[in-house]
Formats: sequence, C-alpha cells, structure tokens
Amino acid sequence: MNEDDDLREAFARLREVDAQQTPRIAMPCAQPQRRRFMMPAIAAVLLLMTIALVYVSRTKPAPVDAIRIETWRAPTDFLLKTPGSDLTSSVPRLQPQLPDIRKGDRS
Amino acid sequence: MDRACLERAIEELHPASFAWALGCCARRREDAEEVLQNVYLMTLDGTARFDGRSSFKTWLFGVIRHAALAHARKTWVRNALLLKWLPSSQPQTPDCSGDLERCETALHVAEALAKLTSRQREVVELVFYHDLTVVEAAAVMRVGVGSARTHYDRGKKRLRELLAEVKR
Repeated sequence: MNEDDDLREAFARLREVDAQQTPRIAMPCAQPQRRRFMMPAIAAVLLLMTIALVYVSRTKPAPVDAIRIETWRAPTDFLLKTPGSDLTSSVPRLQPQLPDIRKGDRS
Repeated sequence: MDRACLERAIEELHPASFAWALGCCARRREDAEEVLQNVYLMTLDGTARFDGRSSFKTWLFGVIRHAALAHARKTWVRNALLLKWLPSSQPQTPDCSGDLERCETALHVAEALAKLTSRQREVVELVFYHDLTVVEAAAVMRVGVGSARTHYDRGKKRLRELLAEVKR
C-alpha cells in the first residue's frame, strides 16, 4: 500500500463531489470574429475624431466677446458732448484769400 | 492543431479544467467559470497557442493558472477602487445532498487546501486531484522541479496535519 493512498482517497472524494457541480461546457463561437474587427474599427473612429477636431480648431470664428467690446458704447457717452465741442476737436481753417488792405480794396 | 481538434480536446478536459480553475480561484465558482471561458476563447482564437512542447493538459492547466492570476489581479484593483459593494462570488462548498460522509471528507479537504500556501496548494492539487507528476506540476506552475518537489513535500505534510486536526 502506498503511503499517499489516504490523501489520494480524500482527493478522489472531493473530485467526485466537484464533478456533480461542473457546469456544461459553452464553446465560444462568434466572439473571435467580433474581436478581430474591433481594433481597426476603434482606430478608424479615433482617426476621424482627430481629423474633425483639427478641422474645427482651424476654422474657429473670432471670439464673440472681442466683437462685443469693439462695438460697445457707454450709455452716458452723450454727456461728454458739450456745446461747441466740435470747435475743440478740429483745427480751424483760415480763409485762403484775405482782403488786401494795401491796395485799398474796400469790397 | 485545428479548431475541431482543439474543441474536442477542450471538451474532454472540461471537468478537470473546471476543477483546476475552481482551485486557482479560491473555489469561487463564478470566477472559475469566467476564467475558463476566457481561456477557451484565447485557445480557440489563437491568442494562446499550443506549441506541443508538453501535453495538452499540462499546457491548458498552465494557461488556466495564468488567467486566474490575471483575474485575481483585476479583482484586487476593482476592490482597491472602492467597488467593494459590487457583488462578488462566494467560495463554492461541496454540495452535500448525496452521501454525507463522502461530502464531509470533500469539505474537509477543500478547507485544508485553503489553508496551504498557494504554491503548496497548487502542487498538491495537481498531483493528487489531477494525477499529474511533480515534473508536470512544475511545468504548469512554471517553477523548477526541485522547487516543486519542496512545495509538494511541505504541502503534503501540512495537509495531513490539517486533516488529522479535523478528525480529532
């Protein structure tokens, strides 16, 4: 009799009990096909997304805030317009032909 | 090996493969089923390739062990990410609806195995449960034969002690 027979017997019992609880085999069939096409599809989608992102960032319109600031007018702007302010904002022009006093022009 | 041949070999070994997966997954049935399904998938789609350097059983058991370790790592990360509240599978206890004495012995062996170190459990289970030699067990475990023999001797001794404690 082998010295390990007691252990072998104990394990045989465990094996018998486990055998009753073994699930049925389910062979995977369709999944390998799916996995094969998965990676190229993901890569293509990522590539398209990158191209779209680059395109969108290049054709970006001017920021709306900048336009608003440029055209903005203060509501109290008119108060700065005082009577006669146009005289101070421009240089007065002298008349090109002054009457010649020496010749006795009285017209 | 073509697909039909692989399928036949897998089917023949299925009960033993499931038992080994169960052992590698701390007897958690759901984990074992998931691991085994992944291994079958890897085998059939060619991710894991049998090169004929060992017997198919030894090779398949090695793949199952590797997949179970990867699965355990994944589970650990999941738990570390505070996902502990997600349902996790419970260890399977032998179904004791039949012969009570037989079931009791099976239960004691399963409990004693859980108390061994992982290397001791693996080598003892491979030799006594799956009838592999220590050399084949070493190939499955990817350790040297000398190392496997040491784990085998220590594991056997510890298992006897644990089973004797239960009988007392």
